[in-house]
Amino acid sequence: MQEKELIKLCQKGDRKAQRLLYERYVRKLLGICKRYLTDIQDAEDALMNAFLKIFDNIHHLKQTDSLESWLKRIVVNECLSILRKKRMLFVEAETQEFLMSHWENGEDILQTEDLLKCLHQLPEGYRTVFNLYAIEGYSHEEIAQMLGISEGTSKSQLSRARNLLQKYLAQISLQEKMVLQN
Amino acid sequence: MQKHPVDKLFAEKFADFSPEPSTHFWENLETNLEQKKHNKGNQRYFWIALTTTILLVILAIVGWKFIEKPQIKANNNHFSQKQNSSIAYLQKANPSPTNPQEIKQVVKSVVGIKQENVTRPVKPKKMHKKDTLKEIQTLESRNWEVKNDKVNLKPTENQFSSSKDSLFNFQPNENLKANSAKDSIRSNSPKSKGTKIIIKLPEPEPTRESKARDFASSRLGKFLKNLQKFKEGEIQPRLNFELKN
Repeated sequence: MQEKELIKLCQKGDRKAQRLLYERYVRKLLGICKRYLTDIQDAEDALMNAFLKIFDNIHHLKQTDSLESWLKRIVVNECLSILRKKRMLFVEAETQEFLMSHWENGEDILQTEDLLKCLHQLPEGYRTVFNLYAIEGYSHEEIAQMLGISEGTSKSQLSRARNLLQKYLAQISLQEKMVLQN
Repeated sequence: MQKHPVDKLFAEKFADFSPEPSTHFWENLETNLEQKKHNKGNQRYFWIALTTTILLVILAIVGWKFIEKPQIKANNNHFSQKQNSSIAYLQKANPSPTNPQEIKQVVKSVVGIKQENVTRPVKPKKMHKKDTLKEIQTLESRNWEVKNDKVNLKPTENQFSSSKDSLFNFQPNENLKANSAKDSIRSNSPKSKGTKIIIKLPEPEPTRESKARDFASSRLGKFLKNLQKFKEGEIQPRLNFELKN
């Protein structure tokens, strides 16, 4: 079924079309939730709320081409609202600078699950800003507006997140190399 | 602008990240959707009912005001026309009526009542013989009755004589206007037959004479009177007991 047709049926409240839309996007959207929220239960709660909002507000969707980005935006907002409820903190802890030599760019031995572990080790503020900037592609201005922080805070949080991630990646890649050698 | 290598790595790796949801996720979602739909339906009915009720109340209030006003206005116009015509007639025929009966007729014609329709079902109070004429007239004029479009007006002779001069500038009382308007509305509806409106004026304050009369007729008054007579020697005491040695 074409996406336009699917949206039209969903707008009419057709349960089969809703199921089809769910089947198409549920994994991708759950992936987003898991990047923002460390607890799997929180991630599923965010996804549930997001789907309820999607089916409730799909009649507002005019441009059918932008369905995926619309869905992603709703899911991200739901994750942020859960983080807000949990009082996300933007810690300004000093982190040690790591040299790039610790983690060589281009190494393809790292799996997505390893990267997810790295992300989950980050403090909530770092992780949120990194997700929004590096993966979702929002600007610092947009992030500052979304989280209610200054642009400077957003930039510093990103920088510290990158440093910490490099450290974690170096540790993981070292472990992986050792496993391969053995 | 070149992307940071860490950003690039994470963006590429997570582009296809699609973990499996829990097995009953869709069932839970469907249940929530059904519940929401049900709640939404109930909410819609509630709002429809509420809006309809408010609209009906507003319509009832507005309708009542629109129905009520023109009738009162019409009645007032009718009243003033009648009043004007009768005054003009009187001025022509008899510029200064002195006879109380004539004045009575004028008042009745102004209010719009026929002589034959006048009824007086309220019984007058029993009066003492010594009461003055003025007191009787005041008591009688206390009860003004409106029955089946018939107004019973009983002003006293004194009142007529005092208001004789001001009768040509007669301005109907506001209460009287309203009552006559209500009467006209009631007379139009079939259920209104036999309704009574009794306008009661405040009770007159007892005079000194009547107070004295009341006291003289009381047991204490009689006793004191007898005591006075006994002192003067007019009567002898009656003893109902015998003294024993």
